Amino acid sequence: MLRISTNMLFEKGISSMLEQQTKLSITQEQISSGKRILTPKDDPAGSAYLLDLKSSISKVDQYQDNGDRARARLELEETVLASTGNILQRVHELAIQGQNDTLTQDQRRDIAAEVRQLNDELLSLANTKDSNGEYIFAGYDADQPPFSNPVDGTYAYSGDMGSRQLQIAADRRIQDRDNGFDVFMNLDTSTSPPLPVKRNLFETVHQIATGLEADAPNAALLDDIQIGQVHTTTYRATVGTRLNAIEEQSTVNEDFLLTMKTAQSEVEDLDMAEALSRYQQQLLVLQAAQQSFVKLQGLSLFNYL
Amino acid sequence: MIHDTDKLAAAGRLSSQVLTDANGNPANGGDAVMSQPVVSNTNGLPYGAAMQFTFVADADGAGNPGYTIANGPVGAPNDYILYDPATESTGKSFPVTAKAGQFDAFGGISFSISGTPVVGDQFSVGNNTNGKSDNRNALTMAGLQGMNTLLGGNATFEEAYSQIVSDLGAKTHHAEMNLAAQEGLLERNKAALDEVSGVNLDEEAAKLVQFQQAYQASAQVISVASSLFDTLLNAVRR
Repeated sequence: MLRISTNMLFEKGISSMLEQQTKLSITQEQISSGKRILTPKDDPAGSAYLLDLKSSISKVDQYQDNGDRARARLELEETVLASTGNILQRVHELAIQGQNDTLTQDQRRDIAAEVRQLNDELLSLANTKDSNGEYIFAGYDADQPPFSNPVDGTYAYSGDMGSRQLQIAADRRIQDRDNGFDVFMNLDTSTSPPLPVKRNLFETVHQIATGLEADAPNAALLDDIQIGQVHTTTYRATVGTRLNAIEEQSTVNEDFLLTMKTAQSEVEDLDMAEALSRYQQQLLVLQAAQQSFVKLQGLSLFNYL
Repeated sequence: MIHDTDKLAAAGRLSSQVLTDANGNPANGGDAVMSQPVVSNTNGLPYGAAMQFTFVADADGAGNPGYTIANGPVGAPNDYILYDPATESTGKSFPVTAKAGQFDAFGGISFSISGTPVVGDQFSVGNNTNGKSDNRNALTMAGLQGMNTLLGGNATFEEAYSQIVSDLGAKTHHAEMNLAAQEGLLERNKAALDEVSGVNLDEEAAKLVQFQQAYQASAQVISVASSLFDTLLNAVRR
């Protein structure tokens, strides 16, 4: 017959209560955190998967942030290019008006004055700053105004040829600005003796004004202004294309995020109903263990001696 | 720990430029474009002077068009790269290996050229001195995140980390199971030991009563014996 020592009786009672309390505390921790996996040992493979999911999610979150920034910058650029287009349109109209034979020199001077105003506006548009205080058409060198007018009729670009890119997906970068050299300086002209001649937009507008002031409007410059309009529209179109690309990528990223977050929730989240009923059950077992311990201790032969 | 964001090298080391004339107009007649150079080593950086690329109809002396490379970093030999606008205007890549002793010795640059230049058109590649909003280096660094650099080129940083975590979790789990098994063994041995050497109070109480009663019974025997002896002595007394 098995002989149970009194010492054993106490120890067994205590250890079974301790065991129940440990289980209860784990269940309670799961309930209060809402997480199934508290430490990697609870589910080694699951917690590794979870880490992968979390890093994917935070990466895509960052891509979305980048996309939002690029969108804001490109929208600003689009606005500026739209205004540039309007100015060039007005300059074109004025230049045509200036061709009119019936105009006197004074009238042409009035038109030239407006053209010069428009040119100033054009230059200030080209030196637009974004919300970060960066000049959007300066390339990488965005700390100082890229366009200046050192001498009357001469326009200098002090930025560089850089065009910054932002990562909007794992293998997709989008250009968030165009350098001013490409947009305002590097324009073809209608005259090409013997090599093609490039002229910046400001100088073309300046020459129109100069021609009008001298009462000798240059008809060839009309074509150059049109080239400028087409050039601006082309850049506006590429900006629009990039905006669309960001929009599409953003939708793809959102879908990806949803899928990843669903997967994360499946691996990580606790089945609350199951956990609560488990908690109740463990509580019941602990209470039973406590009560049976007390009952057992009360029993002693000495009580009857 | 970085205390000064100004110390962050987010920009590329070199940048390519085109030249402008005195009026600020582009000096190049053609529409050729050079991409911003990618730097792959730090040899010869920073440049003593910008590397100058000039388009000529006969770059190699054999009638092939291309760019002469001149006025480069101190000690650089004058050299050329071939570029034929007639067939390559959609873009031609020039990897680091395109010019041994030139590109690899000066920042390990690689770049591409596209478009149609006219003779005399120039590009220059020089130190990127004012690239305040240049993020090329930062982009490259961010690219490391997705690159298989660890475990013999088979895992990204994150993959390797999650593998460590998973391994650690499995080991902890294993150790806990071992612990539980050993504790069970301990419990059984203790019980066996106690079964032999332990004390059960009820058992002792019962034995106490048993021995007490035996003692009392024995004492009674003595008392009876004594009384018998007395009776016998009285019977034979004269």
